[in-house]
Amino acid sequence: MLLKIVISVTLLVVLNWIGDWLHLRLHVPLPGPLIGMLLLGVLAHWWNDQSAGGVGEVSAFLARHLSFFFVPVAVGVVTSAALFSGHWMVILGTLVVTTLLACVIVAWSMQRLLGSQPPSEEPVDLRLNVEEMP
Amino acid sequence: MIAEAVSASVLQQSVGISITVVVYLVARFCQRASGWIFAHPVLVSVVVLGLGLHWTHISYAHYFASTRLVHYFLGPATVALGFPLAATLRRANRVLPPLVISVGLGAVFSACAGWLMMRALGVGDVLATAMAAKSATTPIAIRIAQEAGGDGPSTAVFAIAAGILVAVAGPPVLRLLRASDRLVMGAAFGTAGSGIGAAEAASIDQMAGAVAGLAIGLAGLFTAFVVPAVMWLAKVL
Repeated sequence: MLLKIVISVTLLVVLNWIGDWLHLRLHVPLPGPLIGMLLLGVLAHWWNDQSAGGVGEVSAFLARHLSFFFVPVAVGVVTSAALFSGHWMVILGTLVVTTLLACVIVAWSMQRLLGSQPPSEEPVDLRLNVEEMP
Repeated sequence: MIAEAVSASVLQQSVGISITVVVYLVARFCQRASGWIFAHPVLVSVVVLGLGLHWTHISYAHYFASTRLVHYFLGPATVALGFPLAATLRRANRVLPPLVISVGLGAVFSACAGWLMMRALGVGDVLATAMAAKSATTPIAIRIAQEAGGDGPSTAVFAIAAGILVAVAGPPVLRLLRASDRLVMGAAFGTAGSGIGAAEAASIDQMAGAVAGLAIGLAGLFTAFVVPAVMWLAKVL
């Protein structure tokens, strides 16, 4: 199990590094991790389920807990609140309105455009965001 | 990045990382125990750690240096979304056209509405431009904003705050719309909330997380075109 974790994490780190390299050196207009994500997508597309087993489990674990890795950078939002002392009500209002409306517009458009095709899988339970501990 | 991370003392890092892990786990426990939507682990962690730094007079730069390793692994953890992405790519011709159109609509709306609303409410051009760029993921958003005359740090704050907002309010909003399809959720959370939105989608459903990852990339590209266009129109009109 430990070996599986080490191999999988190494693969993810290497793909992340390749992504960063492509971004910095070849000026691919996406952040390195997103390039790495696409590379892994292409790799995983070719693998059969057996050879992918370990990487799949570790990836699923990391993806499920992706939020955690955002905490250090997100704490900066609170500590830089002073930047907007004069305008914070207006800024908060604009953020809430435009962000939630963008969310609604994308969801509505996706529903419309996918709607003509039969749904290919069972719906997601949106109350499930309180998931089980691994 | 790893070299910088190692340069902060090992003790400092173990303290910073342990505190972050403990606060996050307690926040998750509170969410599961209370079921209250505002008890979202990211929101609670950010507020608790932010207030903690404020009260102990520890600078954010100091805290961030001690948690560099956590921040570094944001990269490889994002790469991990590529795994469920393979399943999405197998149905690319069904998924991609609606995704590109929907994310495009969302990104164009977000940039235009963000800029217009800020200007209409009397906020200056620099912050309005930062708001226009917020739908792109943070590193892209900062560059787009700075090239269009916006402020980098404010852009980062807006992009991250939008992400926290989507993580907290996104699931109830989709429930109202009766949008329970994982493709719909991934597209909406990735576009409106970039990284943190995608993380929320991934915590609910793996494939939704992968679709959100695609949506982040697309939203970044659309925003890169729309923000300069909005600036240009604002000058011409």
